[in-house]
Amino acid sequence: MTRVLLAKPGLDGHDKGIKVLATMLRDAGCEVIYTGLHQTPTRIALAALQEDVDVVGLSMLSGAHLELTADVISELKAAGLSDRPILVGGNIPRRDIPVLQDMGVARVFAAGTPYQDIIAWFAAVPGRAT
Amino acid sequence: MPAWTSRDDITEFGVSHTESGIPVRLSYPPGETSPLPPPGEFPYARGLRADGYRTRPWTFRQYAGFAGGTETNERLRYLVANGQSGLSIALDLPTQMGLDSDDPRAKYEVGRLGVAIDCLADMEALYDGIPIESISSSFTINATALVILAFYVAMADRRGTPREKLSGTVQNDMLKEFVARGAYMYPPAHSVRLCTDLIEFCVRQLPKWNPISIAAAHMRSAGATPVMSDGFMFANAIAYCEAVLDRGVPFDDFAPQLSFLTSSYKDVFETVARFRACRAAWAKIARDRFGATNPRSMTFRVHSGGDIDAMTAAEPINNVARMTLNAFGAALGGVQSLQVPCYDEAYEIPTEDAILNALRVQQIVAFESGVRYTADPLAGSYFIEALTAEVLGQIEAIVDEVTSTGGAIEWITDGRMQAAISREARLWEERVADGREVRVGLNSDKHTFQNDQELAVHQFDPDAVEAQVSRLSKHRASRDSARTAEALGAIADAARQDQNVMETLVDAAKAGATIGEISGVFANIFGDFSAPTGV
Repeated sequence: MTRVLLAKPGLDGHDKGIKVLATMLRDAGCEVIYTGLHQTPTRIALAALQEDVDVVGLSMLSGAHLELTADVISELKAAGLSDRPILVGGNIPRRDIPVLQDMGVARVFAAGTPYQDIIAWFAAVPGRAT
Repeated sequence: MPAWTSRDDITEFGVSHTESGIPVRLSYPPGETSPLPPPGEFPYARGLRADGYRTRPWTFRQYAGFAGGTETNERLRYLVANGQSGLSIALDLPTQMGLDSDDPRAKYEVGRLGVAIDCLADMEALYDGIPIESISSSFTINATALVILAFYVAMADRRGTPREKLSGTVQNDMLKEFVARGAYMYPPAHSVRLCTDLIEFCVRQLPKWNPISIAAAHMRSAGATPVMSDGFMFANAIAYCEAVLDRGVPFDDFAPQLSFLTSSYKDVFETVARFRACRAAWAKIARDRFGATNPRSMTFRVHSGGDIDAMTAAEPINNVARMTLNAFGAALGGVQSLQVPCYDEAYEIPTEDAILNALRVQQIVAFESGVRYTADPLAGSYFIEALTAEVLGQIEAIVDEVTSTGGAIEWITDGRMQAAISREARLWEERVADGREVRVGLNSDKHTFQNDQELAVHQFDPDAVEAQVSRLSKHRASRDSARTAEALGAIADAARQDQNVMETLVDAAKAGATIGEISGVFANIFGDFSAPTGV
């Protein structure tokens, strides 16, 4: 069973998308931990470590996705979790998708992406905690 | 499941069912509903004013703010020069969350989605040259509404503008922040206490100010159906009224200053029915639940915030058609104030061109469409009258259910409201996924995402952030620190002793206190909070 951490970094309070995704991933058989709002990159990495998740999904609609994602990646690295794939979703302009991928983000799902595509991507992440 | 939650077996949204899932008949016969009292008469379903928009149209109020006070001031003046009749200030997330621009937690978000306001000097830069005695301002501000209002009042005091001349709105609706939008800091009970302090202050000092804008729109954005969001809005309104009554302020003293925020959505007919039903619902709550005798206590004065979520990134110019229907629906519904979303809304905060276009859409609807001929133009339509009655019944059912099972604060604290909204969000996404909710240019197979044009979008300016942080550091160095500390101490005393804190905040604003320092005082006393997510 794939263990998924879904997180909202920064001050943005828009979490409709991430909450819908959480319920859909649970229905698809994943174990989902949702952090709730206003998380710092340090707290997200700590939650990933404590919960021993297979994959980390970040949702941002504040426009600060490049900076916040870079910080989460470096915190995950510091926590020894650089092998866990990171997914970024939210209000992500097209021009920023390659920038995020260069940082090491495994996949970017901009607003408007069909949920089926996102669920399929998560389903393909191999679960380790078996 | 109660009738006001969606069924998941509806196949034709926008054809056989309204946006909120209300079934629609092929045609409506005459004689099923009795005629409503005329516009300007209880229960005001047909409008608050007998003359509708004849004397003047609704207030054109586009939402604007970015970078620092000076940059936003330029945008506000541009909008006023182009015929905007009211201001609506977008504040950045750190300002909304009580963080100064130099706070590490504010990093990356200063001046990004709104203007950064750290202290009185920033408010003065924002309003430089703008006559606050003659133009109203609306602030989308909640957890720090008291601080922002204190800066505004302190600015007026320093300008010599009498407080009773100030007109405007602070959103100050904390309850909905716990179920949608998420800009909360303290636990619900303390949050409501601060909302109530602000309302009480305005009743005594700022008679033309709306001390709260009780909001449905954010709950809709979080997934609630439009009608469900209206029902929860009234449940929240009742909780605020009870809190103010507990202070010993009579209902007829504060109710005329309450205002509301619920939006026009893509379903034009349901939108019209909703605004009509909301007016009747509030009039009845005010009279029958709270015993209002002043007719002004019964008037549902509303700002429509626009169907932001309907804006697509795909083929963005199509959004102008959505905006036009949005404005037309709001006008047919008789709103007092309107914002329409901008065509680039799905990308970024609007460019100057995009916000001017949104203002022009409002003006075209107001001055060219004929919507102002007569009050409540759709009255008497068999369909509209039946739909109004149905929506009113659903709103009343929601209000009854919430108030008879603990009330809004309990529903929010234990997550019942969040869970109901999350369920609707999920159902809506499933309908978009399988095409039952058609979004032209996005999910309908005849109009696939073809025109992936790159729009010229708003560019975030990191230099403006640096300038903001440097102004703040100069401000800290130049103020009389002992006076600032004393003023902050007075806030803490008032907060601990359950006195109204508002006037201590105005004093602190004048003593150079920052939004982070003032919010820090409350955080120390009230603690922080994490709301149930509903999933």
